[in-house]
Amino acid sequence: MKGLILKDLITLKSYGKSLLLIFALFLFLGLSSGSPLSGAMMVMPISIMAAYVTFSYDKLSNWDCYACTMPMKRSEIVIARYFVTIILSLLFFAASLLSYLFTAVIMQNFSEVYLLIPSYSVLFGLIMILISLILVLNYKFGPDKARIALILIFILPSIFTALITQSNVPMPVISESTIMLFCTIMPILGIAALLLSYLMAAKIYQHKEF
Amino acid sequence: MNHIEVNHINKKYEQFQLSNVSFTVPAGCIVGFIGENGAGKTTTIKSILNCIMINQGEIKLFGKPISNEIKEEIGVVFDQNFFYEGLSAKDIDLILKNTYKHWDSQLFYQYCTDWELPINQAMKQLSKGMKMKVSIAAALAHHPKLLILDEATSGLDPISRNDILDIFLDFIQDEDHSIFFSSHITSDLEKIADRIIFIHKGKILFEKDKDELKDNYGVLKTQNEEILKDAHKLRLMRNTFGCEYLIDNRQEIHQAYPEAVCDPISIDDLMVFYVKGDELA
Repeated sequence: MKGLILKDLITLKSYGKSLLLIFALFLFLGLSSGSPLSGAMMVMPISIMAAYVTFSYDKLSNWDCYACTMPMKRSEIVIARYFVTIILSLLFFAASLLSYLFTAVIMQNFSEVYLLIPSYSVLFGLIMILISLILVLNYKFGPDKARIALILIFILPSIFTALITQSNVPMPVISESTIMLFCTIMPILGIAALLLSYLMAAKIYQHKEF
Repeated sequence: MNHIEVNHINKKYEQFQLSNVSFTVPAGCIVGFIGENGAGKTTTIKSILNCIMINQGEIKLFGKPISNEIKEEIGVVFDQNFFYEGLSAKDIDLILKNTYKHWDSQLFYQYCTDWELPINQAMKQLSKGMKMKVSIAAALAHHPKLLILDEATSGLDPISRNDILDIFLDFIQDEDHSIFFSSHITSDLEKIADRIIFIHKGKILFEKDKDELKDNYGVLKTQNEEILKDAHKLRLMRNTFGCEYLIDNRQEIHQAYPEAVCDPISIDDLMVFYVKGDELA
């Protein structure tokens, strides 16, 4: 399994320059927006793209056929991918925090520091849920069809939010305790989603033919 | 002991089916696996390696169903490179070192040096032949007991093929090793194989020792009824010059009828006879 984790990380090295460029872009956006936290939080979703890219590279080289001949169970092949995703998410989480600190120091703006923990809790949970969905879709349908689902996952909520905003529908008032509860359970939901996703993906991969 | 035992496997697709495929690969043997394009060679190999699921039958490797421990003993080379194009031989060493228990980095780099493979260049910068050599080096470097090769020498120049075949002959010197080798380059099989298995449209047409094929099989070109009566005719091919018969008692016919035109047959021609010829026996 260690070999597979290394394979994905080495493979992503070639994608590293693009990732750095995107990271720099979001850093700039954060500085421009006047909100260090907004820019920093934009960095975390890059881990979703990185997770997706590993599937594309595997599909390009028909890697799964060769992987099945290696001395490991199919469930180990799947769990290695999940570990890579978690490693990438933690890396981007760290990068995101660093970028917040960097932009906050540059702008001398620490007014959002009290929002760090709740914001990152919700974001972490959300990212984990999205990654869980993307991984299962990739295992079930492959990267080409999963890309369509990926686009819908990002576009549909954005369209829905824009429609709600433009329609001037009065938003319900949410109490602070509810918000805090939401911030607390989101990471737990995210981890639960990841576990469920792994179980489904392992079952799908067990029956796949290459 | 048989390193590979395939017993009555069936695998059905929409347009194709493996039907009742059975054969063995004994220890200490090189078994050549031949067939025309689409005959089922790769499907059979993938069934053995559990890349695809069979509908019926049984496959055993080293006397047992496939498992992680057994996969440690198998080196696999397919007809294409499965490593991401951005990886170098050095990266592949790092990955496989952490995958196989008995991975030998020194041996891997030795093969790279002997075959003049650049270890720091990405796979996309290597020629098809060099990529194949990297795959072969990767298959050999964890000291397997069984090599399963699917068109492993395709894309190699004759000199490189000769070097690779020598490596395989060296590999088989250990009687606990075996090779299962599918190839269109039948001259390679004629050089090194001990047994030949021929698959056609998902069915095994024959499984014979190569020496038996070389010594006893032949092409009889005659209209003499007496000779034809004594010949054990398997297939008939009609061409512009007349009829040719595939027989499996060439030595007997040659001894009984020295004047008879009865030539030894190559594996290529044997395949053509079995596919294009009319069945007689």
